[in-house]
Order: sequence, then C-alpha cells, then structure tokens
Amino acid sequence: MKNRIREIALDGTIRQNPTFRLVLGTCPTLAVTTTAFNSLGMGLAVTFVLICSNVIISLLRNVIPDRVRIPCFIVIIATFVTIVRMFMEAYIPDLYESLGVFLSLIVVNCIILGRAESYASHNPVGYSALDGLFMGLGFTVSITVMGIIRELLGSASLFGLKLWDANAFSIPFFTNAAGAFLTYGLLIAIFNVCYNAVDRKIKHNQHGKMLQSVETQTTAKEAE
Amino acid sequence: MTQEVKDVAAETAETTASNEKAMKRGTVLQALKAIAVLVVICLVCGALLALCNDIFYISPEERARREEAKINAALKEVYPNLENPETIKINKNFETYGAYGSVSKVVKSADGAYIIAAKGNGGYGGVPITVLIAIDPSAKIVAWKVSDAGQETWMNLVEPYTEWYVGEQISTDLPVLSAGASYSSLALNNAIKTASYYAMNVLNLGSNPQKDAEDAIAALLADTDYADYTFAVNSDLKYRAALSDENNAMSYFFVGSKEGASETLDAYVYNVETEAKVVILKGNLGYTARHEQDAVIAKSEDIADELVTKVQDLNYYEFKIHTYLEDFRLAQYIAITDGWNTDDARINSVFVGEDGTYVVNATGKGGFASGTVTVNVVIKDGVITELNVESHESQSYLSDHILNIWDTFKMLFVGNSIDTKFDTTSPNDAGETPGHTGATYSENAIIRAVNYACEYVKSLTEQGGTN
Repeated sequence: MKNRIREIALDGTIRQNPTFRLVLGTCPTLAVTTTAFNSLGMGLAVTFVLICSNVIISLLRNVIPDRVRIPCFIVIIATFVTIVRMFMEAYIPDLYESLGVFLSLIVVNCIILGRAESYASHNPVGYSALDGLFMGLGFTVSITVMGIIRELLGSASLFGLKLWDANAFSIPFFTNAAGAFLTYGLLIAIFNVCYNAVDRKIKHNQHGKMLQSVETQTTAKEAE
Repeated sequence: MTQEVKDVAAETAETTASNEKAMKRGTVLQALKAIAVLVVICLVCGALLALCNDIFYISPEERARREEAKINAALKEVYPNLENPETIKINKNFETYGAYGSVSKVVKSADGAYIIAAKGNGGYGGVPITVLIAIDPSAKIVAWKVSDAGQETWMNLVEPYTEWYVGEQISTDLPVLSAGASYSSLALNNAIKTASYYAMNVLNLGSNPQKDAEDAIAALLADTDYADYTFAVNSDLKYRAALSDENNAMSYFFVGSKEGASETLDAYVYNVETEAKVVILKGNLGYTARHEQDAVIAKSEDIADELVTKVQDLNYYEFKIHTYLEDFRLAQYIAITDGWNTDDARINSVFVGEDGTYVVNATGKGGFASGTVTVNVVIKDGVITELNVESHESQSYLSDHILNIWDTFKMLFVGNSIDTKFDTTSPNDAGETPGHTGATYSENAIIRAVNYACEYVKSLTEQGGTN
C-alpha cells in the first residue's frame, strides 16, 4: 500500500505532471499566471475540485451506468466548482474578481474530467482521493512557479509585494499572452529535459543492479 | 428423426425469441436506470448547491459595500490622500462638454480635493477613454489614471507619461500630450478638458473666464427681450485678435440664438480677466445696418465708443471673406432655400456684398474616399472672380496635387461666366487632359461645388436678385 501511495504521489507531481508532462489545463495555466497569488488560488481551487469530484465519482463508480457517465461526471464537477465559486465570492472577493471567468472554466478543465474518467471511475475512494490530491498539488506547484516567474519579470513583484522599481527593470512582455506562451514552453522544455535525465539515470542504475543480481545468481549456481 | 429435429428447431427458435425479448426489456431497463441515476445525481447536486447558497449568501448591503470599497480603492490609487469620500450628484447641465466628453462620477475628499471620472471621446477606433482625474482645492491636477481604455497597446505607452498635466491648473485649453498614440492621447486630453470644464463650472475650482463672460452677457440682457437667448462661443482666435488693440483684448465672441427665433445676436466680450466689457449687436447684419442705432442691443456702461465702432466695423463673416476680398462689405446674408443639397453638392451659405458681389460657400461631394471639399466661390456681375478652398474631408492628395498649384488651378474657373458648366474628369482620363492635376476625385468635388454655386447664383438673379 505504501508503494502504491508513493506511486500515486510521484505520478501526480512528477511523472504525469498535468501541466508540464501531460500539457493539460493549458487555458488557466496561460491566463491566470500573471501573478503568483492568482496562480496559487487557481491551483488550490482545482485541487479541491479534483479531490471532491474524484471521491464522489469513485463512490458512485458502480452505480453510474456507462452510457451516462460523462454527463454525471460533469454535473458532479460543476457542483464542486460552483461551491468553490460561492466560497471565494463570499470570503476571498479579490481573488474571485481576479480569476473571473476562469474559475467557472474549471468545469471543463481536462485534468479533472480526465482523472475522473481514467482513474476515479476505476479505483477505490482512498486512492482516488490521493490521486486528486497529488494531481492537484502537481498542477498548483507548476502554475505557481510559472506565476512567480511571470510576476517577477513582468511586474517586479512577488505575491503583490513590490520588490524593486518596475520602471528600473521589468519586462512587461511576460505579463502578456506571448510571454505566457514563452514561459510555458521554456518550463515544459526544462522540466522534461530534467525528467528524462533523471529517468535515464534511474533506469541505468536499475539495469546495473539487475545485471549484478543475475551475475550473483550465476556465480552461486556455478559454485554449487 | 425428422420429428426430433423439428422439435429441437422449434425449441431453439422459442429460446431465441424469448432471449431477444429479454434483451429488449433489459435495454429499456438499462436506459431507464441511466436516466434515473442522472436525474437523482442532478437532484442531489441541486440540493447541495441550494444549501451552499444559503451558507455563502452575500447580502445586497454587503455587495454594495464591496462595490463602494472597490471604487474607493481605485480612487485612492489616483489620490492616496482620499479621506471620507463623498459622491457628489452630477449637475446635468454640465455633464457633457460638447463633443469632448462627459463626466460620469464626482467624488469629494474631506480635504477639499475632487476626483472626477471623465470619459474622453476620440480614442483609437472611436473607443472613448475613461480617466480618473484628481484636482486639489487650488484647482491643480494632482494625478490622473486611465481607468478604462479598451486600447491595450496604448496602455503600455501611458506609464512614462503620467507626469503630463500633473501640477497644471485645470483648463479647457491644455495641450495634447504626444505619446506616439495620437488618437488615445487626444481622448485623454478630451477627458481632462471635460473634467476641467465641470470643475470650473460646477465645483467652482479655478478661474473660469468663459463663465465670467457668459455671466456678464446674461447680466446685460436680463431685462430685455433677449434674456432667454443661449450663447455659443466662437473659437476663432484670429477674429478676436483682429478686433483687439493694445488697450483692449477681445476675450470672447459669442453667437446668441433662441429656438424658433430668426434673429441672432453677436456678443463681444473684452478684458474678462479684469472687468468684462460687453457689446451686443444684432446678428446677420450688413456693414451699413450694423452702424444704425438700433443695431446695438446692449453694451457695458464704461465701454468706449471707439470699441463699439470697432465691432460694428467688422462682422465675423466679413472677416472670413476679407482674407481674399479685402473690400468686401456685407449687405445681406441669404437664407438657403430648400432643395439645394444633392448627392453631388450642397450650398452652405451665401453672402451678398454692398457692391452686389456674391460669396457662395458650397461643398462638393464625391471626393477621394467619399470625402468632400468646401469652397468659397466669389461671383460678380455673373462672372467668377475668385475661388478658394475653405476645408476638406479625407482628401489626402489635395494639398500635394492641387493646393500647391492653386493659383494656376483656380484659373480654370476664374474669369468664366456662371453659365459655364465645368466638366468633371473620368479617372481613366486623368493625366491626359490638359490642366488636370492627377488628384482626380478631389478635383471633381471642387468642380461640382463650383457648378452648384454658379447654378444657385443664376437662380437668385433670375428670381430678381437677393430675395
């Protein structure tokens, strides 16, 4: 079980990182990452919806007929998105205003429907919840990093705090759509280069260990 | 054997039929189950949302408070010293400043400063720009900020230019800043002009010489039959300069009118900065009539007779025509009869001089880019004696191809009888006919205007002169 939890965690945050590996949820990634605060807010909202929808869908996985599974998933996801909207409007109005229409668009975020379809509808509640949690964390961290970079370079601030005079040095390009694409592309490239390098090293080590183990067994047999 | 086979076949057929029936029933049941599950999920989700709606309910008062806080936050960005903001009801009489723009919100700070939200017309693509302008009690512009531009590209140019206008006294004559975005800069300037106009007229900030001039006129006409006339300022600075001398500067020239009344008034205001001196004449009069006693409707007590004579000497229309006819003395202004506006041309005004000279202002249509050219055609004794271009719309090639050779070009018309019908040029023939300029569309608009002016004067003379 511990191994399975570890696998789910690694999949959600690194191996199947929804932003940099699966390239899902591109719309909010590009649109709301103008500031780190907005990115964090969006990420946490998506995480909440992911966990809740995964739990409910997993609970109902043997009840929902196959032919209406997509409408049912969307109704459930839309319900939690609406709850998040109501909560934000009541208690975090500034973030609610900043996220605007992209908060409602979480309903059609590919990550949520994708995980519901591919994981939650075939797995037990506990693991589905964990999958939602770690996928959401992976998404949150990814877009927050992107938000930090764009806000630092574009507005000379971090989480709304002015770090230096924007007139002295800032590149407003990064707050525009073109800058978003550029940042996103570069981060995808960096992430995948690093991931592939680490993956190769791990596989190389595993291969080496396997060979060593085979040699040891062969030597033992010969000795016998 | 055969009977056994038949029995087996019959049994198989029965089984197949009953299986098919069972399958059909099963499919219908499955469909019903699917719909039922979907409906139940929708109902449960709906109930959950209804519960959450109650939990996270925001009252209308709270919404209003938040809206006010948002507006105040925006206002504080413009004027950080904003305290106890009080929204002032807008005076509808001064809400709009002509074609420049309009005021949408006025907020007063406890320290006497005002923040005015003004919309300036004339932005790029015809989109107005809304600007928040902070004005301190001494009528200086403290800061401004664009609150709604709809012109994102220009927004990036605004940052380095936010020091423009800051520290200046409010005025309706502030220069347009040059930010590399001409339309947007003009709209910004219009917004600041509009805010200044409102502040001067309603909030009593800064000096308002135009209002002082209007008040002086109103005071003079208060007990006359012209008390309810409204006056519009004429901005021709050259005319004002022509009627000024070293002792008396003409501050404003107004034209007064009243709906339904044919009579207009000309009001001249001198030295408004010190003490306004006003002369009001009947409008639309020729030189001789303007010197008659009853031509002066009202005048300030201490105004010099020489000043009164000065304004009687030079009517505005004469002033305009004097630029090319120095000896023109207006005898009569002719009201244009109906029907002199076609797809080709339009008659705008006709003045007749004391010596019988007609000056016809006509607009020729169908110019370049469907624009127009407005000309003044001078006709004496049935002959065109002078022609000049007063204005044009969208005629990009007029200056380079026609105006720079105007003295030569106008000779195609000057000296000809008003019976002459000048031919327009087909674009296909441009360049092949001697005397034509290459700016064919502009040229044709001028030709149409001249033809129409001649036709009008012919109709007047056939009717028996100027009536």
